[in-house]
Amino acid sequence: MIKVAIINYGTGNIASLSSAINSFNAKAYLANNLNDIKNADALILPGVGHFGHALKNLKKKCLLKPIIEIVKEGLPTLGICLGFQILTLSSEEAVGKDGMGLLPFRTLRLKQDYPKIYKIPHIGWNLISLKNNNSKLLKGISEENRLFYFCNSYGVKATKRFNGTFAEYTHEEDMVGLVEYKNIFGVQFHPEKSRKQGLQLIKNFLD
Amino acid sequence: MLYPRLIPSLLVNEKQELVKTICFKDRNYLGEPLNIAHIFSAFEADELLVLDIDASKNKKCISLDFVKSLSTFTKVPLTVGGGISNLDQIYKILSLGVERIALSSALNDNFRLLNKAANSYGSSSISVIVNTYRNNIGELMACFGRPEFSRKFYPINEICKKCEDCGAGELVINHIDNEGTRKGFDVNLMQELNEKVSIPLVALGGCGSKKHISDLLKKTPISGISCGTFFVYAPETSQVLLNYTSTSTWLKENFKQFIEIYKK
Repeated sequence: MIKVAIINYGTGNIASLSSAINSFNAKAYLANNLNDIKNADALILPGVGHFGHALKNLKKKCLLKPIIEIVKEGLPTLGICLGFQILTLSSEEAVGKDGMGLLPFRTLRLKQDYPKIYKIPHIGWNLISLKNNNSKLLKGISEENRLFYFCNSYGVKATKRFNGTFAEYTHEEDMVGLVEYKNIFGVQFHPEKSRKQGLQLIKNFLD
Repeated sequence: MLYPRLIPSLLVNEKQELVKTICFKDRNYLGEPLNIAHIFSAFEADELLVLDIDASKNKKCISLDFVKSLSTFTKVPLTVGGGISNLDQIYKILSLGVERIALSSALNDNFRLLNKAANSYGSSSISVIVNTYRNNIGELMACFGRPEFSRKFYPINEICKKCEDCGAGELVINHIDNEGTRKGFDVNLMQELNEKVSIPLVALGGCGSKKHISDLLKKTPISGISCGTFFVYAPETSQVLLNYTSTSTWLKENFKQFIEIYKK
């Protein structure tokens, strides 16, 4: 049975995520300290909250540096929504604060030149389109089924040089909805609330 | 592009029974709320809006045990409201597996709660329900919570803008005069508001047919369409007949035509 540590940084909506993970051959638990993380076969950084607060909480628990090390050593890691954003270099939500820097992207406030049509927060079901063919997370999910539930005001922008696997959604402009980079996975949407395709994605991560 | 969300709205009374009202009155008992929420989850509803309509009156918060069961029995994104009046309640509800909490009555006495909640949990976790109706002389009034318990009334444009400025991530515009009447949405009002605010709006109150949804979407790119009567009753009756999928399939097939209108 795979042990999945969900990192606790204070403001998390983790009930649905745990039950989604437990529905496969895996056991989710809330990780509060370094030992909890060392025992894990996989790591999840959950969504909901504020970029600055999340990093501050991790620092306070003395978890920030150890997590970065453990992920660099190769532990499979999935960041969801805010958990995806804190894997990046920085965010406009907390100017001057460094992210974990595990993904070579920056998190920006979503662009809003046409507020009559494109509202912020970006709330609802949006399609993602894969920019290259080799996705582990999207295996078995057909193109027209790549519809996921989003709830975000900030988003991750792809850099031109990035050659890993990624998929984009469009809300006024194209933003990164999913990324796969070595052992690191990130999704802007909430797979635990995204119907069969979301559960399939979680299963793919655990496989 | 985001699809407009079709959101069944489920009203729960103090006995935790699911009820449906007309213009906030004439309660009709529908059944067991968890049972019905589970069915809408099986229909793959885009989201569910679940409100305890007696909580504020009784100075209570919606039951956490009930919310926990709701989150266990459903797999869809949830917005939950009813008597929520402090940050601790918000934290507890969000950690039970709820995407957004809805504030309303509490903002009458403590408007600062909105800003605090948005700063602590992010705007995308906080909805505000604005109730609106026309008074005896036809003026459009807006308030938080039920008008009979509200001491403050506002011009609707002003209050929507104020909520946006204070961090609301979404506004549910609940039209009391239309609620349960199947006479359609107030499309002109929704268009006007949608042009003034840059956060998502959800229209609630009045839907009785697909045509009402299409009338609204032709006029303005609304983020969410919430319906009680339309999704819980058989057409033109008050016989319970839960339905959803025919409307959601229709909307997915026809959504492109609305996008073409917005582009013009």
